[in-house]
Order: sequence, then structure tokens, then C-alpha cells
Amino acid sequence: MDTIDLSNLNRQFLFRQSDIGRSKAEVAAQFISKRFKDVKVTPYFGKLQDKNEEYYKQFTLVISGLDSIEARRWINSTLVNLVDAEDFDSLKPLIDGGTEGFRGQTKVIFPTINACYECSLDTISGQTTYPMCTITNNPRLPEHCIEYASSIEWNQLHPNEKLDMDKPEHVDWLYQASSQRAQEFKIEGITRSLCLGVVKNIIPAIASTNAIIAATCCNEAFKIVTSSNPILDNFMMYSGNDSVFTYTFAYEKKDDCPVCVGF
Amino acid sequence: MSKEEKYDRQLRLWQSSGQSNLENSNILIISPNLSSLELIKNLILPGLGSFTILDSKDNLIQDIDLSNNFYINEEDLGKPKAKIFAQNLNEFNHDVKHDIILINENFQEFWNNEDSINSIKWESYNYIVSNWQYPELIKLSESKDISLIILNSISYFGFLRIFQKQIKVIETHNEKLLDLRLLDPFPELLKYSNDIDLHNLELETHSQIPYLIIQLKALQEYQLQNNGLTPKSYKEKQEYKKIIQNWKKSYDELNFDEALTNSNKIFNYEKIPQGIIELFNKIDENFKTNDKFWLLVKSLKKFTINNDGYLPITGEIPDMDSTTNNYMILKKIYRDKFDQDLKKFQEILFELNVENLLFKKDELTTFIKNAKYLYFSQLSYSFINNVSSFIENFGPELNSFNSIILSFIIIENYYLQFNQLPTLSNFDTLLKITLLFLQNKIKITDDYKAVLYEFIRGNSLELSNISSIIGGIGSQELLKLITKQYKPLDDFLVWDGLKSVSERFKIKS
Repeated sequence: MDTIDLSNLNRQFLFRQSDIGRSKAEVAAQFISKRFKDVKVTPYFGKLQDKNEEYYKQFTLVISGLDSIEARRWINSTLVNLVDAEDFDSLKPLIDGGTEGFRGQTKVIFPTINACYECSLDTISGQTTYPMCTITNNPRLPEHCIEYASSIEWNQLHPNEKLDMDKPEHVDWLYQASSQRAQEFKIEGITRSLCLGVVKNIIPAIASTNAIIAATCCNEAFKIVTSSNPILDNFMMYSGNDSVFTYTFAYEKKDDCPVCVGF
Repeated sequence: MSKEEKYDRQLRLWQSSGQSNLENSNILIISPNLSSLELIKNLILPGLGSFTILDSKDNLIQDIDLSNNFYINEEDLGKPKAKIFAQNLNEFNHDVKHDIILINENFQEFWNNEDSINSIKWESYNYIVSNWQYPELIKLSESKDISLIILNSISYFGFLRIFQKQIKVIETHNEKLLDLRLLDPFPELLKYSNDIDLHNLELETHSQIPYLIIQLKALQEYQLQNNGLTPKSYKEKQEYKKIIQNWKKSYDELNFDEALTNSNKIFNYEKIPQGIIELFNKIDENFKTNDKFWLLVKSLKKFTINNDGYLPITGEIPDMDSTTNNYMILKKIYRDKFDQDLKKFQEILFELNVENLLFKKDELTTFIKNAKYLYFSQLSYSFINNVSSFIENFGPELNSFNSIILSFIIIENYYLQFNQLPTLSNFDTLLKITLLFLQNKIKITDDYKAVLYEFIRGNSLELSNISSIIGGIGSQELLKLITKQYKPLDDFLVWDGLKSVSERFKIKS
């Protein structure tokens, strides 16, 4: 259900300033259809989970650039469950890409055949969280003060409203409240940018890394549909933080994977 | 519309200092193919200052371009490529200025005509992007000291090389910026620690002592038992950990857990990392009184000599489970030490800075915080145009990876000679060029033939996917060079899209 935000324009080249607020799926579909007249693009602006198995069955393969671990787990398990040993077409390859700053990764999953997303889950680190007692009693970092203001103070003041970082007046409030808390404990370093970063769990993103990862995903999709060359087996990580480093290796299927074991 | 908001996701990587370098950069792109267009797109979106496309006026948009080039539309058929590319690329971001230069000849003629070469104001560009290593262009890059990025993709393969005299990076964004000095605590830290009577504290206070102090005290205890030595072997480190373990009063003392999990870091300490020692050894050959980087490095070296071999402290401490107050006291101790070191450093710099170059305080703070991880490299301008330089750089074997490199070199030779890309029907010509190049010093292998065939079986056309990958990689590297942050590629990379793997090389001079 993603819509276009001003901060997307630094990397998402199908969108223009006049598209801000519109559905990403719809604008992207419109743009591609206009540029490539022979390609049929159907936008779907909604939740992944609202579509049933029949919907996912119509595709040859699925490429995902999802923004959360939960959504990735969902599409992964849906595609695993789709596999019917009697029907070869029920196997839908899943190509998953993700980036963070100068780093990214690409995974090629043949559900039930090789390691699925769930099999690799213990190598994935989630969002940073802070212990409650640090936030309430012993804040030491500006992040602790922001957490206090956003998760405790706000709820006390506005029990019926969610703190919404897309509303400028909420951001203003959070900046004030966290600054005040920080001042009380003589902690330095509260900025608006940090407030947004902590509450929205912002991950740095640039066009370059997205190009590398999107293109490696497409390259694998291209090889799968054309059988023109061997397919990635099955994981590639890219890091540009320190020179250029790529690492390609095969994840093993996990014997006790709760999603793909038993197939 | 606020720029901070639009560029928020990248400012978190290179801050406003990096952004301002980007906004002040001017890039020249020579006759762009798909890879260079991808590269420049990834610089336009984040707000590059300006770009200029240099191309032959006869390079017009043809039918075939419509099928694989994203940056043109049907109505652009027959128009000069440079004009349409500049116009359509500019759609991505109106903050970016653009220009084109059309030349009357093709590039083979251009590089052979001194007047044509001199008609271009090369000095007005900070970076040049080209698909081919024209020998004249490499010479020009060296003599005029303008950084040059060569990138290309053919079939499933990509190629990237950086030509620049030196790479100097202060902000390498190394994640291990901490320097806690536990093995040799400075007096203020020692005093604070000694004033804490750890074993006679109430449980509540005991569980709120920052782990750094626990580690420091355990180290003192260990040294007391072991004639002043520090733990070195695995067994000794285990003994050290046992001390901390035994001091723990209650199972839920998080600070003691942190002291244990972070204890290996203490012993992996080097006063001055090898990379910085090597940098110090290069001062004499590179030092100029008007070069800020070397002035800072020379001051740093002098600082370590006066400072018992230590670099200035970074003043940063990690988050540690403790009360706000305990943490803030410790933070201040490190912060004060940082200020002292900064002051000493400034005094040394002041003495060496005979030309009175302007240094802002932020600049010095950044330098000192990164002093352990500064990066310097000298790059080669040598052009791999004969078999001995090929062997020197990549070895005598023509395995499948070296075959990719050699294929690129041979196709480039063909292109520079005939001013067009080889097609499948030129396979034999390419083999002849290869034989000539290898001069019997390396034998052509079946691997090589297979790779060369893979290169041209699509008539040397670029695949959108591969050009996007190599353009993406090239743009990351260029962003690092422009922002002067993070360590860039040094200096040559080959991408194999069949296996999704890359290899790096440093070209020898």
C-alpha cells in the first residue's frame, strides 16, 4: 500500500515530483506502459496478504523488493505452499532483493528445491531495540530519549491517536519532547533527522545500490525465463562500504525449517 | 520543497559535507553507452552539480536503440543521441545542470587531431566517464590530473577501472572507531576507576557500573596475579574472563555480561594500525606544505612520537548498561581527553602549517576521529596493451576469469582499430588479434574461446541488466570519490554476470 514520498525521488526514477502522494504501483505501471508499449503492466495497490493462492498461481516467477522481514516471510511461505509435486508449473521461483546504503543482496529461491527465505532467517538482523528500563530510567543516548518521547510520553498525552511521522506537527512535537528529555539528562545530539530515523526506522538508500540489486534480480529472472545461462546458486551479497566486495554462495536448506520442511 | 527531505536517505550516508561536494561536481561523459547512462542517472538522482555529454554529431538515434535504451522515445528517432540523452536524463532531477558538446568527426579522428582535443575545456570537469581506454584520453587524464572512470559492459560481462593519481580518504566510515585505551589507561580514567570500590558496593550500584570500569579493574587484578603481564593466549584470556565472572553478584547484572562479551576487543588492540604506519612512511615522498591531507598526516605522526606512540583518542565510547550519571561521567572523561589531544594536535599542526592554510575545527575533529582508518593509495596509469603487462597483472594462465579480462582487451583493441564493435562474423579476426597480442607467451585455451564467443554471440551488444549493474557499481565508486568518503575501488574490477561474481585487481605501474 505504498505511496510516493518526496524522499523517494533521490533514487526511484519512475516517479516525478508531481506524483507525490500517488500509489507507487500505479505510477510505475503507467510509466513503464508508456515507455514500453508492448509490455502489459497491471498495478495492484493493496496488501500482499489480500490476494489468494489463485492470484499468485498466474505468474511465472515473483521478484520482490519488500521493505520488511514479515512481508518477505509471508510471500516466501505462500509460494512454498503453492508447490504441488504433481504439477511442475506450481513451482514459482522467488527472486528477492534488498539494499541498505552501499550494501545489498539478491537471493534466488526455488521453493522446496533449495533454501527458502525462512531457512536463512537466523542470518538476518532486525531493527535495533532498547531495554525498557534504559528508556524509562537510565537514558544515555539521544535515541533513548526519542524512544521515550515517542513510545511513552506520546501515548500518555494522546491515548487515542497514533504518532504519525508524516505529519509535520507530530515531528515538531517529537523533536521538542525528546530535546526536553535529553536536556533533563544532559544528553546531546537530538536532531530532527535522528527523530525521524529512529521512529520510522529509516534505512539509507541510494539509486546506485538499488540499480545493482534490481539489475542482478532481473538478470537472474532473465536467465530463468530464457534458459540462456546458469542461474545464481543461490545468494549474492554486495558491499560497497569498503572498496567493492561481492560474495556468492549457496545457502543450505534447513532440516528443521518450519516452512519448507516435509516437501 | 526541502532538499534535506528530498535527499534524506543519502544524507544519512555522506552528510551535508559529502552532498556539497556532489553538488559542486561537473562530469564529462564521452559518447555514452547504456552503462554510462546508468552511471550518470545514479548521480543525477542524488543531485550532482552538472554533467556534459561529448559526442559525435553524427551519432544519431536508430531503431535498435529504441529496443534497449530506456532514455529515448519513438519521437527521438534520427536525432543526435547526446542531445536527447541530456534532455531526458535531466527529467530525473531539475537541480542538475546539463550541457552537450557535439564534435564533427568520429572519435578515432578526434583523438588523432590535436586541434580537436584542444578545443575541449578539459579542466572545467572534475571527472570524465568513458567506455573505452583511448590512449590519448588516459594521457590527458594524467597530465591534467582529471579523474577518469572507464566502464563498459558487453554480453554478461562488465568492466570498471579508475584512473586517478592518488586516493586520499579521511572519512572511511569504519565502524570500529572506538579507542578505549584499557590496556594503558590515561591518568584521568585510572583515577576515576580507582575511586570506585567495586566489591563493597550495594547490589543496585554494583549492577550500574559501566562495563569498561569492570574490564579495567579485572585487568588490574589479572596483572597483580601475573607479574604485570596482560593476557595473550586463549587460556590466559579465559582466566581473565573468569575474574569478571567471579565478581558478578547476581545473574541479571547486564553490565557484567557486557564486560564479558566485549572483552576480546580489548586485546585486539594495536597502537597504530599497519595501514597508518605505511602512510607515515610515505610522508617524505608526498609531503607538500600546501597539501592539507599530508600536512594533517605529518602532524599526526609527530603527535604519536610525542604521545608515547598513541594516536589521539577518538573520544567516543559505546553505549553501556549503567545509570545516566555514571555513563555521563565516563563520557566526559573520554571527551576531555579528546579535547586535550585535539589541542596538542592543533599546536603541532600550527607549527608545520607554514602557509597558514585554513583548517576548520570540524575538519580537525573529523580527521582525529578517523585517524586510525585513514586511506591512501597511489594509482597506476599504465595501460594493459601487451602480453607482459597482462601476465604481470593477471598471471600467465588463461583460466575462465582471465579470459574475461583478455576478451575485453581484445575487443577494445578491435574497437580502437576499426571504430566499431565486432560481431559474431568477426570471431576469427578477434582470434588473430589475440594471437598477435599473446606473442606465443600464453597459449589460447578452449576456456578463452568459449568466453570470447559468449562476448560476441549477441554481436557485442550490451544487456540492460549487466549495464545497469556495472553502471550501478561505477556510480557507487564515483560517489565515493566525489564525496571523499568511504574507500573506493582501487582500481580495476571485472563483473561476471553468468555467476554473479566480481574480481578486483590493483594494476601495477
